[in-house]
Amino acid sequence: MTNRSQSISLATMVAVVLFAAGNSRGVSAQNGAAVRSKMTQAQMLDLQKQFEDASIAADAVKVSALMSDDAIFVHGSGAVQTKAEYINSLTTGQLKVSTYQLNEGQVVFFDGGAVVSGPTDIALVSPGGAPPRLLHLRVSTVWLAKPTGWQVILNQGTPIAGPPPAPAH
Amino acid sequence: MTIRKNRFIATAIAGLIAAMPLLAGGTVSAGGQTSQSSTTQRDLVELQKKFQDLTVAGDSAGVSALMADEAIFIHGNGAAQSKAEFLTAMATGQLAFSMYQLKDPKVVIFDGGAIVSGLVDIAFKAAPGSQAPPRVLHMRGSSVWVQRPSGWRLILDQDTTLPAPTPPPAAAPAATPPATQ
Repeated sequence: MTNRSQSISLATMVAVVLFAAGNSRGVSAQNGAAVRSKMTQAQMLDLQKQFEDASIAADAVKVSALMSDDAIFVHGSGAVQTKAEYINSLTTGQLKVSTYQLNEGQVVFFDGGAVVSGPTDIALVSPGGAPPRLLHLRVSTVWLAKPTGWQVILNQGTPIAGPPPAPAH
Repeated sequence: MTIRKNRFIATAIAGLIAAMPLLAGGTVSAGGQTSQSSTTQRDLVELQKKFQDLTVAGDSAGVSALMADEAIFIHGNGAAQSKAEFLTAMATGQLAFSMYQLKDPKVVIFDGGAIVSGLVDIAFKAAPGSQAPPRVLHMRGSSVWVQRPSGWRLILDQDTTLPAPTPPPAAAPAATPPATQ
């Protein structure tokens, strides 16, 4: 091998290494955007509905799969639950949800996740056959795109103040 | 001489091959993980405090710089505002805080962002000439921060008003109330 051919080989190797490094930078920078672009607003709303339906069904497996282990669940009363506490309250019947419906949901994507927010109707089954307690909340759910799938990291509900009473004549 | 040259080339190639994963991995770190892992829970609590202090000061420019353009702000009464609406409410005096404090903060850091949540006390400035005491709200607040190339930005702030503390029962304590939505 001549000195010249050795130099060309070495230069080629350097070029390949630098190209590979540069290419990996591009891939890592676009990874979040790629994850995001895989989901449409309609798909996020469908995912949200899956979580709501699984909560109504008290489907612990499904709810668990859709929640991050470090998820925070803030109820309309301000009470806070961990993922384990939320699932436990569903499976023990402490929390029985008969209606859980997001209306006019707004989706805001961010790199690696999305916020799904909007007015939500919730009905809680009351003990002793009493009529269900109806709640009208603004609920925001923060979803993260994880390697294993999309998971809830935060769900927070805030009661929407009712309209002021009609003025007395 | 030839043997020495070949050994040099072999060493150079081996070095390049060894450096390849480092170069590739290094770009991942530089793209996100380094700056994120260097942001501590304390940094995020301070960032949250900065947002709250700027809001109390009515510093629209400072607040604007910390909010993502698509941010959602949900007040304790369930009213939702966009970033523009929140800033306008501040600028016009419609929303004037005299106190905005976070107590017992909890920080959850995730890839590309963080949640800062805890107990929030907010007081509104009394109207000029009013003798009424300031209205104070006790809430559970959560702020979601996302990491952008230009810095951390608030993308969601939601407060849930806590029920007023009940007076101590005269008789036996009631059963633990169930968690409610």
